[in-house]
Amino acid sequence: MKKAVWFTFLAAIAISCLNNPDCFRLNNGEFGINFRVMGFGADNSVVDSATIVGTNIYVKSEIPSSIGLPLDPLLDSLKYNFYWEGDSSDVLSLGYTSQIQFVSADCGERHVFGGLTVLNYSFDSISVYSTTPTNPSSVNIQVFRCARPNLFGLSFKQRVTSTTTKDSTVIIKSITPNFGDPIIFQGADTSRKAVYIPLNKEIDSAEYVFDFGAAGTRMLVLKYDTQEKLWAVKSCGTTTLFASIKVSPRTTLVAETKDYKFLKQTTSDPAILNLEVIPK
Amino acid sequence: MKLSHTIALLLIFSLPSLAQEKEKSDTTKVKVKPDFRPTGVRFGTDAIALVKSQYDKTYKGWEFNGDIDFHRYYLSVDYGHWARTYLSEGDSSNYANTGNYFRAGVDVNFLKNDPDRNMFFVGFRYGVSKFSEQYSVIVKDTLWGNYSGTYNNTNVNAHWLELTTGLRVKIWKMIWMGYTARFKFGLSTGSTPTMLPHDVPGYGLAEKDSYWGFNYQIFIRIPFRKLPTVPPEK
Repeated sequence: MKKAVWFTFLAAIAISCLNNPDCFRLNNGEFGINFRVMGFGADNSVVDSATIVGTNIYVKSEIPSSIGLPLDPLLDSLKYNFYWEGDSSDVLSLGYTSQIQFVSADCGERHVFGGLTVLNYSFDSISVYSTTPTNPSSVNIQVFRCARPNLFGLSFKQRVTSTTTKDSTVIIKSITPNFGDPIIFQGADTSRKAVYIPLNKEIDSAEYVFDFGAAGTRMLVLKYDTQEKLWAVKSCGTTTLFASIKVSPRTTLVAETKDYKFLKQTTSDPAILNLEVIPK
Repeated sequence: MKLSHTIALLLIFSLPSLAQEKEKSDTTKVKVKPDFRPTGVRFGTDAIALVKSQYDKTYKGWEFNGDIDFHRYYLSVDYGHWARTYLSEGDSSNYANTGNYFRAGVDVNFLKNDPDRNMFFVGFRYGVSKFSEQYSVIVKDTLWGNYSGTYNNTNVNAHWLELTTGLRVKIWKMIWMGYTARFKFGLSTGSTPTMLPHDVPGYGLAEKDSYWGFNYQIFIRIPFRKLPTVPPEK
């Protein structure tokens, strides 16, 4: 018993001496933003980069649908510009608290950030998930984009055996729907394995004329059900959901029904491949 | 360290006294009405703080301790001061704090029948501290650029709780020695908007949710009256 008491006593003393902090990961000076589509999950439309207004700091996004951004320990707010693939951009003004803390003579100081507050933004919707950044950084802010699940994905295949297919590249000059503007492909863009075509939310069908250049034209006719969904976020209003999508018999894009296969009969945002076709 | 571990540790500390109780279970106990009138007051100081002040260039401090008995219960108070100074290599940063602290609580003596009132005790304390600290630094930051600054926390209040255990042994006449092990937890500090406290006098590193402290104490006991006689064991 005596030994146990002494052992415990000495252990307690030893623990009391473990005061020296390690200098690893002292700061929590980076917060994470996750981009999502309202009602559909992660937004894979790629945010290319972000800059911090008033500085030369440029942050390249390395994870799809997420980005980590630094906080300035000497300020209490920062304005970030986000650049999306394509030409669009967004802005976010963020407020926060910063406190310095001496750690040790060896480690120096650390900055403790907290109180993340959204001051201004140009996104459809934004939510502060956690007001305190962590180290390593994790998601603190979720940015939501209004859903636009109006694109139908089509991939081209070629038959290998009677039961197997493989990806095929086709030359397409244009796709002309019976509503809206035609989709024109130019240069290297004409050689495609897949295309995404818009669905017409006004009626329950859409027709498309595929111009394959020298190979002639074919028609795709889709029929579907539409459903209006009202979002709680005012800026998003209502979204048209497309479901039970079918290929009409009037379609000339394929020779027979075994030449196409549905992967999913509802659209999504970001768009997914819905149909595999073996063009005639 | 988790609170449950600490309670287990304190229980292990208290095992000798429990064992003592068991050994005596086969003796006939004579019930004597407890006499809660104090018999004396003890004044002491923490030897570790005094020695550490001499050899540790970063620390200057002292602590006075006192207790008064009410049968096997002791009202204990501690009053102390500590100041720390850290200078980094190359003088790029300089931290200094100074402050006073006060602790009060109750210890329970588990050596019930010791004629000299030697103690093996378990108790608790409520600690309060008032301190100021200053940090001057030149920061080399590759992202935001280099900067320098001086940060101050002035007259910050802090309070915390402690579980205590230890010994008090009569050495010679009025001279007593002992140790107190303290498990400190529940630190709360006042508002410090620009700088988080580093070191709270009486507690230790502010970033720690719990902390161990240890005092090796020397006391002088001034008796008020004669110790009540311990009933003879049969």
